[in-house]
Amino acid sequence: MSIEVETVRRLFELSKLSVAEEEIASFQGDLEAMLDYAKSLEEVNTDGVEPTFFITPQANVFREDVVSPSLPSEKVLQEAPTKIHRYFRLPKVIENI
Amino acid sequence: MSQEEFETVIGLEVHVQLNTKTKIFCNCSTDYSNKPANTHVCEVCMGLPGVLPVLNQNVLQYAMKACMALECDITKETKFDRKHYFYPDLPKAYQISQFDKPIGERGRIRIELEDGSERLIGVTRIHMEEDAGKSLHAENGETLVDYNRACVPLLEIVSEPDMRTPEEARAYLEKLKLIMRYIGVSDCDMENGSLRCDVNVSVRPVGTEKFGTKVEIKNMNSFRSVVRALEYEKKRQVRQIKRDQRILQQTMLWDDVKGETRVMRTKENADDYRYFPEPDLPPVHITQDMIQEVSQLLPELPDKKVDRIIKTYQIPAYNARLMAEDRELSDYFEEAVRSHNNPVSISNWILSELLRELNKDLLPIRDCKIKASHLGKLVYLIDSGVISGKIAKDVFEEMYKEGSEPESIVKSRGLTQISDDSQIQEIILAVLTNNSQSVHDMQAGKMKAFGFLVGQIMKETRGKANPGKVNEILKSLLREKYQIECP
Ligand SMILES: [Zn+2]
Repeated sequence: MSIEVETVRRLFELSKLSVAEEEIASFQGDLEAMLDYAKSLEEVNTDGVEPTFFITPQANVFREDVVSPSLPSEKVLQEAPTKIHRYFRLPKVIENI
Repeated sequence: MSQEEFETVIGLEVHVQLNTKTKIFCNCSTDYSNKPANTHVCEVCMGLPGVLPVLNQNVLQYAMKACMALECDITKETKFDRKHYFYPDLPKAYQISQFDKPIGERGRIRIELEDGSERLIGVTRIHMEEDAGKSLHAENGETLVDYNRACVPLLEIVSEPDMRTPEEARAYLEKLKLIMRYIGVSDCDMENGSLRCDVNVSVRPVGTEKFGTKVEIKNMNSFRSVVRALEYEKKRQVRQIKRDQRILQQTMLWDDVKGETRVMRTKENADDYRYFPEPDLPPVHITQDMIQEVSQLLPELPDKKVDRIIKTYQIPAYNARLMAEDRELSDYFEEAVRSHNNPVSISNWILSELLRELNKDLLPIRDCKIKASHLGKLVYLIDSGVISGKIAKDVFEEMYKEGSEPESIVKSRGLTQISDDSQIQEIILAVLTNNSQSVHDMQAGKMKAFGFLVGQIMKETRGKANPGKVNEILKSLLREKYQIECP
């Protein structure tokens, strides 16, 4: 099954990953191989089979609306690369709007 | 073509924050406003690996209430989906939302317009989802993130593109807010962010069916700014069309200070959120029993209430609507009417005197010192002639300050209206003797003096004389004693 170069670029873009131009062809090949593998499922006759969204038979799992303590903020921020006054600190994320 | 030859086509996407105690999928408190950053978060709302979200049962119940109140069909087999996008305030890089099986679909909201007409606006869907955190964009360009708001429950309520004027959009928002407050699921305060609204707007020549290219506008922080943004955008789009320029499918930001919209991004390729079913949350099967149970929690809704009040009490629709804007105020009215059956007068007292005082003191009706039954009693005292309307205002003032009962105020301050004919006659005769100049004036045809005499009589009785009787007796005395015919 073939996949367009543009689609590969779009997938990288959506995943916020950068890709070198010379690598695209190899990813294209890998993705095509994966699609071909998954394509074998098309051979199964699924007429009249309801789609399965969940693999366990569970339903209606709820919790009561009762507050319990949150994590201490030192813990919350423990893995943050940089922080300031209890905030996570990040590089600029938006263009001037 | 002028601006008037175009109509706007408006659809609204409203996010309502639910006022449950805890977040939608974890036990963290939703009471995050004015709290230090990142103090209301846990492993679940931070989206750490290996955690399991569990649905808050009150979120489901509130969502069902909202669906019923907006007359939506409730989806019997509903589920959650992951909506993927990257933004720092979204810790999991996906938002748990609902895609193809929203909890409610095909609802409607009745709106009332200034000219008294009504319209039905379709509600396309209602779905449950989690809120994102908050990013602060510092001066130096850094972004600071606080996750206290992440995972707070939201309902997204999407309307059909049924509105045709900015005023209709405003009426829709007002009604939506009123209903959500009635059913107690959100306070819907746009200023503090518990109601957020994005609009989709396009224009087309009046009389045509085909929709124009729509523009999405974000970043309005009040109902007023929604109206302003829509008015601005309509003008801009019509101008573009008249210049033969294409409308681009764009997302715009409203700048409330400058009073204009500006482009945030142009949608070249449609968003691709790669939705798929949330595997960590089992589906929700809504049974008839659950629907039954929730429907019993619903109060009488504003439209029904207004209709019933108009019909039962025969008061002007305007009064009924105004009172129904506050559920407790309309309850107060009904209670007052139970103590004295004069609904028109009671509703006038509530909407003029009572609301004026309450608004001045920024008090809700529940903190009002005047009991509903006492207000009814006050109107009774007027209707039965015990006090005049003028005196009633003084009595009202004391009731409002002290919370006392009107009859006891009237008694203790000796305010009972003088309706006894002979007593009034005696007072009038004295006034006529002391104001012979006025009588002469009237004999000379200067009828203006009549008003002066009435004023003197009221002054003499400190306003307690029954005004109707004063008029009547004064006229007959002037006729009998001085042959003066008053008109
Ligand atoms: Zn949490």
